[in-house]
Amino acid sequence: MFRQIWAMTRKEIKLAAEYRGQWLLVFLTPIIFIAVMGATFGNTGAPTVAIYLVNEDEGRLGRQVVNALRDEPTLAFEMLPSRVEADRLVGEGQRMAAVVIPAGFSQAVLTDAGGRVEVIVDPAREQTAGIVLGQVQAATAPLLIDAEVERGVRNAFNTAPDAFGFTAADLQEAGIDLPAVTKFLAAAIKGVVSSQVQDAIDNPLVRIDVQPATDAAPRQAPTLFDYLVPGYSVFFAFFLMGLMAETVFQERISGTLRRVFSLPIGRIPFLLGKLLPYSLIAMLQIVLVFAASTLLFDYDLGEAPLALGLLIVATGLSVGGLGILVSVLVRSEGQANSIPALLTLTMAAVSGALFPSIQAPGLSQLTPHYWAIQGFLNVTALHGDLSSILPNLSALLAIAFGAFGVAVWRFKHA
Amino acid sequence: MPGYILEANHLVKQYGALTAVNDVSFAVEEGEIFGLLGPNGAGKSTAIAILSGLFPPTSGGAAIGGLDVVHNLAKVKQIIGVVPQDLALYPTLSGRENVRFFGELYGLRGKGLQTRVDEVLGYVGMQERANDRVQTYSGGMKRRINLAAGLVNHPRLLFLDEPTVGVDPQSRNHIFESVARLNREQGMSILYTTHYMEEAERLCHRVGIIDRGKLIALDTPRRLIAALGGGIIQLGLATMDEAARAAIEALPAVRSATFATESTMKSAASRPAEVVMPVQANSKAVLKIEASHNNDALLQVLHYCNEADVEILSLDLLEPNLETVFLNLTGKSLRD
Repeated sequence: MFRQIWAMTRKEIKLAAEYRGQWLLVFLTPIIFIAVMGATFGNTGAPTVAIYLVNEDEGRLGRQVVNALRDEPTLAFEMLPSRVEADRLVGEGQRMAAVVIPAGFSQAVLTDAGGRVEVIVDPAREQTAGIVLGQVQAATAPLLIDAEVERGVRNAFNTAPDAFGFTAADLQEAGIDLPAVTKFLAAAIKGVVSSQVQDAIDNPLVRIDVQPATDAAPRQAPTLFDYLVPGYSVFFAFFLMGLMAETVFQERISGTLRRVFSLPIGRIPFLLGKLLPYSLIAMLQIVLVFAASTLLFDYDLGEAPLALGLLIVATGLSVGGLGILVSVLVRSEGQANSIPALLTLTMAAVSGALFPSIQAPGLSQLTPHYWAIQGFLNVTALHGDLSSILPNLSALLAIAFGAFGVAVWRFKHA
Repeated sequence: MPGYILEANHLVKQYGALTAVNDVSFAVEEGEIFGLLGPNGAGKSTAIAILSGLFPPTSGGAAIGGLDVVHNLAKVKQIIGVVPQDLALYPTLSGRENVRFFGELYGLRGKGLQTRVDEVLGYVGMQERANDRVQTYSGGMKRRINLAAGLVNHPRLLFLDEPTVGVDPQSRNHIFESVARLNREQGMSILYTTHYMEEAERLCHRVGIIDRGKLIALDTPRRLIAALGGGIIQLGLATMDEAARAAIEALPAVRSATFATESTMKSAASRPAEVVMPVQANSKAVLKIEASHNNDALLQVLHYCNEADVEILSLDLLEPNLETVFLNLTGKSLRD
């Protein structure tokens, strides 16, 4: 029986070697997808918003606003020289918004009318551009404390003579230089207020404590590649189901299936001989994509090679198990071409293989993709050990053997 | 008393309302080439599929080498070889790789496998091209590799299902010679299905004629032909004249005379026989005459028609062979 399985496996690998175009899909496409997705969404996991910035103000506060916005990690700026150009480009949809600091901003901030920062938004993306407003407000708030204190002190000194029943001439006559005193006191009050504001920031009345999870091992936050690499490896591995269905269907119509079953071979060795080669190819594909990702994207393979290896084997077997089940059930060339692809895309979509943040709760756990991807995340990004992926291994092997069992039951060779 | 390598008893295979094999019984002697002759769709391939264990019969049973094909299937499969009608090969593998693969499934390995693969490739004359991909072969060469793959386990009983369909004359002769040599030199028993009566006559020791799932005759080709007598004369007449029929049947060289259906007449006319006169479009009746001797019967029938003023619209003279036997038994041609 083992010799028959080995003979079938070798034959399948020889036949599969003919599908050179398919191997490009299997081995190269996942890497290309990972690279494209990584470049599109960045590798920090936090997406950035690209906008324009125009600074027509020549004062100190305008420059400080620009610097504060530059420090904001979620905004990516392109500086433009004029509001007119920013308005035109946003109108064309080149960016979702532009932040404009108008001329005289620094002076205006110190008047009662106050300063004004303008945000030009693309009407088609007005709601999304609201993110920019929040970030501009957050970035400019600390700077405006400085201006607000200075404006308040000036107002106080301008109105103080009236309030206490003496005039500016009285003060001058008493030898008091009002502008100098104003300047001195403003600096002193600013210092005290700033100190208190900073103190309030450092020691708020309502304190929010952030504590690391009790048993968590020290590690870095998962990057986007930690999701993309296992996600797309698993996604593309399941495309092998289509190739399996095609080869079984070809055996059916060419007569080789009937011929093989006129020989002393049973259903189990025959189906295992179909399952194993494609499971091995799936394992090889995952290994190659992981290896390439380590070289190209600095992908972290974790610290548990045994766990990683077992997870790759279990994932490969689940590809083979589901593939052989689909191969047994399809009855026409059209079905062989369409059903595996449809199944692959559906499982990938609900499991979060395509977009890490999009899953169908409940449904996702019915897919091998979910268990494989979560297992790879545990071992790689989260540096888990074998015990951390035992549920994943169990689920993947249950899917593989369950599907194979149904395939043996439903298989008809004549 | 020869032993039987194969015994089929009342085999029936039904697919819903269709009875593909209908109460078929026959036996193949050790060292015999047994032919199953019948048109396409007669049930030959279904019979082979049952006997080779591809699926069980609806009823009835069969034994090969004394082993029941249902209950001892694994052992039965070790002693049979099957050469299917389809070119059941992997086209992107070489001929050698194909034969080797089937040998491995039989459990052969190592030097024994290598030697056997070389032997069978030599047997079918394919050693020179054995390492080329099957998809580069001609139809005849594919048929020869198809045969080699069925021989790799050195079977005691070989099922050959229409092995010469679509092959060139050179490959057909090669296959004939291979089959005859296997039987002659190795004593291999062979069950050979075909719808070519020349093949059955040339190769088979005995022939079973099968039509619509039923075995309708079984004997040596010589006896089957002899039973027919001298041959068949088909006479196209203007009217279905019962008096003329009776008079012709009474002629000394005539064994029987019956009016045939129009479809029978067309079948006969479509085959390349010794047509003396073309079939007339306005023929009203066809009188099928079984002759004990064709020449004498022909002279007597023509003389009678001349004397009795019976108008002859067409005349076919069919030589005695298995085709004629089949026509006589079923009223239709093997190629229908």
